[in-house]
Amino acid sequence: MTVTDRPNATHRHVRERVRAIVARDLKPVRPLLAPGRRLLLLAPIAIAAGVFAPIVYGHRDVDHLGVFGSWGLSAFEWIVGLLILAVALRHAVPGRGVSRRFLIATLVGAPALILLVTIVTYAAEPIEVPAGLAWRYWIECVKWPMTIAAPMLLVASVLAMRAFPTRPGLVGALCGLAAGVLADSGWRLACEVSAPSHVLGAHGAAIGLLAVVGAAVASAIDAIRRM
Amino acid sequence: MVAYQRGDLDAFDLFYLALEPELRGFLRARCHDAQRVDDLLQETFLQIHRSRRSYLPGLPVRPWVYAIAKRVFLMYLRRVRRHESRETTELSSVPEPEVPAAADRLTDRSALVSALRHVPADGRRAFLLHHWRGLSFRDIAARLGIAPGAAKLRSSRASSRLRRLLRDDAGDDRD
Repeated sequence: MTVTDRPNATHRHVRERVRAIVARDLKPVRPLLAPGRRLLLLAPIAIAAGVFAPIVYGHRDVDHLGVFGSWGLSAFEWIVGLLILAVALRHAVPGRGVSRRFLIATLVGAPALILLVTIVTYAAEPIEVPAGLAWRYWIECVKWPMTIAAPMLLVASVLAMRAFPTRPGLVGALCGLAAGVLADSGWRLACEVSAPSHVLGAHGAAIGLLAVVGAAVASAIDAIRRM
Repeated sequence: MVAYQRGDLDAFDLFYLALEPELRGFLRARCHDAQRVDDLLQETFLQIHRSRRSYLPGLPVRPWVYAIAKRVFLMYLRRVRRHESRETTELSSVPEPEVPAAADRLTDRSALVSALRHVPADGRRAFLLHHWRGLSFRDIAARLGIAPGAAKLRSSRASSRLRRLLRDDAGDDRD
């Protein structure tokens, strides 16, 4: 073998090794659905996450907030949640990731939206936390949105991870953020308090925690898969 | 790619032949060690194989392939950084290794340690885990997060490199 033959021999060796492994494991696979169609699959769960709290726990007095301030803002928040989910599903597919600028806009836009909704709601109907019950309200408003969002987060994470994302942690965080925003779109109507300290501190914490849990779940799935 | 998704091995061959040169170039531009490029290329194609269902028919193949190659390279970098500090500590505590009799004249401990330092980190780790710690390639693979075949290959390449370095070193001494 001459010196010039050596790289070709190595290349052939790599190729043969890869081919042998692929040949052992090769079976037909059905391509994933496009992100838009997977989003449609998730829409029923997203609707359930949005309407569960107002239906089960009751909802605010529409007379005070008006249709726009109550259901209108919730519908807007729900649509934004769905859009974040669309970003997550799209970003999960290798080579189809959204730009960094778009990602930053999504990650900054979600908290900004919550802040805006909180301010508008408080301006229309300022209700403080009853004295001495701040901690109890905080726990309820972290626990329930997280519980309502859990099925959404789980299904969305599994769907996203099936695409073998190149940045699983980020995709998981986006799924968690989306699930949190979707659940909050309904929970804000069920929660009787509109004080920003409570809404941002409790509802916001639930959304943040869901993003963290989403990132952890996705990273864990990725780590298990690579073992 | 669609035929490959349907389970056609010939389609995989065509796919490999079409993409191997440019993927090799892509990896070589980021990692200048030919052995590592081979490992990364193999890992990239295996990752492509595992995630082949995530390719959406009708879309260009290359962005999908390059996104996977980039991810494989980043994972490799992360692994190297994680093991680098631990490896330095391990190297400094290398005891008198058991070297075959034929090489006894070369077994100056400092020469061996010095030669080991010139072996690429990936290969050195696999080599030490196998020949010094006595781990099986399956265990090494599990520990390094690679396939057993890749662990064996790395150890074997490190061994050849080490042998060559020690031989050169001995040649220099004789001169």
